[in-house]
Amino acid sequence: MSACGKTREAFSSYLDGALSGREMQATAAHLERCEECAAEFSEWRQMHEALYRLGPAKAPADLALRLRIAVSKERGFVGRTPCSHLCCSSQRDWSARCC
Amino acid sequence: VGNLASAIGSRPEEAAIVAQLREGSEEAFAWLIAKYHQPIFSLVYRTIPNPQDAADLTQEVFIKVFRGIGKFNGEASLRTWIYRIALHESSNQRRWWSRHRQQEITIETEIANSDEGDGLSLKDTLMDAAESPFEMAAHTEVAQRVEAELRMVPEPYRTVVLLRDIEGFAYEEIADILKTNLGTVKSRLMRGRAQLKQRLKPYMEAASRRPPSAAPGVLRLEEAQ
Repeated sequence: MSACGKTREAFSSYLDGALSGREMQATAAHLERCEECAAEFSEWRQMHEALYRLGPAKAPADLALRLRIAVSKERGFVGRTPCSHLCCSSQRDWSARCC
Repeated sequence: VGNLASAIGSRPEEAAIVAQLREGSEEAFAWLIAKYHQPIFSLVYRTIPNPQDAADLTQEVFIKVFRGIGKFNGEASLRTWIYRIALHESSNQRRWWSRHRQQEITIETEIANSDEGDGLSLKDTLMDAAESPFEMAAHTEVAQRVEAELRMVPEPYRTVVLLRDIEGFAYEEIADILKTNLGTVKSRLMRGRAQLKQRLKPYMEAASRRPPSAAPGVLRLEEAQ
């Protein structure tokens, strides 16, 4: 593999600093002297920065409360003996069951 | 459960929390939900076809955690186990979607929301011959664009990118969550990032040609450097 190909293969790990010291040095040195690879890596860095800036998708404000209620209902059901009513066995929402 | 918030970090402390969760401690579950609902929602939101289902699916994940905590054997960390459940649920959702709903996706289907509440459709993410990348960039905020393009990165690459670059997991943790080896994690990460870079390239180029003062709030990836 050419020096450029080898360097580009390492871009993802280079972004994470996940190469050995020698590999990090070799990649940095190649980027110093190869404009094409430097331009290509600049795009990788921009993509990475954009992803970092994107951050987590924000959960709805009431989600934690909703989850606590759902777990609480589940806890309530676990303590109960299931009845044999047809309406109960066919309903997924425990709170809507007849017993 | 008083010090739960700072507890997870060592195995003995985690074991104590797991014991309380197994006993059905309401306080322990409240802590678990407070700690994990946001990252799990975020991961689910970006790994299922319809992000509007993310809250419901997050609820399913926590119900599964509640039901399954008795079988949690501690081989993996609690966090790893919860993420595995979340990814399993997402995977099931994707399978269900591909069987039942895929045919219903039209080019107008909303795939992300803008700050103003306007939907971003698949059409908006495709290159339009009538509109240059420059013009598209002028109408799109960076977050929306990255969100939309990220959604186009196929699995299993997208999940690894999310776990690494959004959730900040180490390679080893990702391998543990996905039950795969380090080499596979690195390879998927490289391919996922490469695809995202390729998808964002037209917008990066457009942004780099754009005068800084041309349109506030538009894509300016170059400026971010």
